[in-house]
Amino acid sequence: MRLIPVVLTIFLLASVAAAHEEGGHSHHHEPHHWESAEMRHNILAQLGGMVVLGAAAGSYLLIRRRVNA
Amino acid sequence: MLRAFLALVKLSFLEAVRRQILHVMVLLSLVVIAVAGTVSFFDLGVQVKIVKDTGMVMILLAGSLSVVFLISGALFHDVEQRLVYPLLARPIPRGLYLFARYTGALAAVYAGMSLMALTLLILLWVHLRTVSELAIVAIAFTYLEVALVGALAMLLSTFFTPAMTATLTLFLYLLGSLKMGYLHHLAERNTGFAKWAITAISAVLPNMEAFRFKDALVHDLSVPANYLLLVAIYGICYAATCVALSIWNFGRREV
Repeated sequence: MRLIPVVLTIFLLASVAAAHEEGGHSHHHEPHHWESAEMRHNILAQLGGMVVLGAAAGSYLLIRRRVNA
Repeated sequence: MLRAFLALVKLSFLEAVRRQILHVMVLLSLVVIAVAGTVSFFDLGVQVKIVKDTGMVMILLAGSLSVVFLISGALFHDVEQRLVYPLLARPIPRGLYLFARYTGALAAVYAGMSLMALTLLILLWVHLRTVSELAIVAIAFTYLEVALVGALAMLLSTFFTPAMTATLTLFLYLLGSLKMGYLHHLAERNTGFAKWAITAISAVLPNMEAFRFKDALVHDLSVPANYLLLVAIYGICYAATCVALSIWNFGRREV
């Protein structure tokens, strides 16, 4: 129950932020994120990073298992 | 192993659905969605846009806040209350326990979100007599975004206390939402170490904006299917990486 004022404040702030975002779009006519090449590059770069991280972790675990065996 | 996992998920789910924070979030959101859908000040076109806009914002907001508050304290509570010892004394891997904790809490949040989503879809059907595919897609990506936020909270909860975890997760969530619109411009305007630091932080932060298709739903725009697939893969991989890192950190920790 003590969290209710916090939740209400966050709701209020979020609605103000959403309204501001709507206003911003109408003035600047920025492309939506699904039309943006920059967004696709960012997503692909992060996906590449995760694949490299996963491959490194997998190799480390394999090597450690072999050493322990 | 599967039986143990399902039993742990059920326990975690039941614990989460009893939490007051989830009830408050769901009730508040349902009231706001219902009010936006039933109180009519505008003509039908504007009214439907308001219903879609408010509904999507409330589902995302309530889901994200609930998942942060539920997950950030789960692990800490189990260790502090010594509930984790009898579980880990059994042949249950720590990773399985942690993953079940995450899945159960997420399932409880999804149950609440489903109520909100159902209310939104019913209201749309009442106004339009049809529900677009994009509404389902937009809601599905909101579910994925909430799963990612939950995974981030789970990762941070293996390092920090609940209050710190909740604060940090919400902060990272906010930064992730501002990443493309604000951080990239900030990096372009700075030089030297500041530019390097902002770029490094931006490279690691999750791209939360990518999951939001509210604008497409409100303005009836089409989204390419290959972009949806890319974002879905990205969300699943990011959440899986966070969960894997949290399992690794919890596995090496003294409890």
